[in-house]
Amino acid sequence: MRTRIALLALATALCLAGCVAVRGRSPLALEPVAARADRPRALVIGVRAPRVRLDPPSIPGLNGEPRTALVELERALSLIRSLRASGLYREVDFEKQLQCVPDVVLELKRPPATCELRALPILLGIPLWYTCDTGHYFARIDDAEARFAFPWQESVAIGGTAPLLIALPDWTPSRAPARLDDTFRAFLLAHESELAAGARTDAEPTCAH
Amino acid sequence: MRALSALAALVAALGCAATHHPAPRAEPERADALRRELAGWTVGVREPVIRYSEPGAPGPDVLDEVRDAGRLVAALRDTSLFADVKLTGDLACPPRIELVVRAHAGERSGPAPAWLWLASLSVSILESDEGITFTPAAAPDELFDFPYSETLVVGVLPALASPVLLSGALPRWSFRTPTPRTRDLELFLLANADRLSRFEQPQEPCKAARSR
Repeated sequence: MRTRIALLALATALCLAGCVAVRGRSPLALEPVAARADRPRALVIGVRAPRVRLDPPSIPGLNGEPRTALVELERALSLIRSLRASGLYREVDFEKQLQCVPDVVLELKRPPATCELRALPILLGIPLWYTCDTGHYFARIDDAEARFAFPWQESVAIGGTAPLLIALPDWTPSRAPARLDDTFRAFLLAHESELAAGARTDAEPTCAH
Repeated sequence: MRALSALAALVAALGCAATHHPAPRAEPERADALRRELAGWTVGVREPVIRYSEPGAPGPDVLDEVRDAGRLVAALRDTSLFADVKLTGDLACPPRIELVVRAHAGERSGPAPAWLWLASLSVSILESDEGITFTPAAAPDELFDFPYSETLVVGVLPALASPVLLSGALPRWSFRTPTPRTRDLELFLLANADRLSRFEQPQEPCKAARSR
């Protein structure tokens, strides 16, 4: 009986300590790069805001909800946060919030995949394990060819055995946006010329110059 | 033990939830005339300004504002008082009145006190604020505040009291859903129709496809 109580207490303690383990990684061969304060920052980046709209109702007669707009808005906010965190640009904001004309305007593109449940870990005793792509997919609005795809697969394991996963490399007890940002910075540096090639060259003054 | 399990299964199967809601409002004077007047209105709900704020930064959250704008459209549509209610950008014609949603001052939701859980033998008690606050776009300081908070009680007590609740003897309690919120909002809008009509916009010619 005492052994059972001790095991129960241990399981409860493990759960209270945090039964969630998260691993984020990019399938691209990128090494995270730290920010450099001495790097010159020239470009002003504008991100086109998603249109706020209501989805058609899923059941006729009910009201539509702004689900798609919310998803797109979350992705846009996440892209701006990561672009700002990269420290590579002079200013990053929604296009209409900038006080000047941006050098490059980006728009969101639909990510190729969504979340998926993993069955095998569930069979191994982890009640919930799913992987979502929380990466950044965007394009320059002036060049349909210039598309940028930065996949970031975030796996989340929830359950009593999750604390054991945290001992493994790459796993953390909560989301680690800094790791995403460092890897995204490497991605941006690798695509610097393609991104900057869209910089405005007309006579209109920009914030950067 | 078996009896308790059976009771728990019964509660779960019946979905014994009761909702406590505010006392119903009285029908305002000239309600029918006001209904006829509002039936010709097209209402636009202004889309929030999309802006970036750092995660966890104080101040209104743009995601909440988008959700609230969608809820305001849904709540106004449900009353069936108006000819049409849409986000302003989705309207082909300029609206008769344009509204801007504001963050409601009440608590979004909160846990009930522990004693209430014990006293009511409840599985769950949820207090939620279903209130709405908006202003006319033409008068940002003119607040229209519709307070409405509900307490949802799920558990044994609603199951035991179901005959009383179903009989309608307790006017501030609803067994299961829907709650009378939509009716209450309808009466709130009728009571404030004269005040709202002060902010009617001059009718511009309607274009088939209005540019945003």
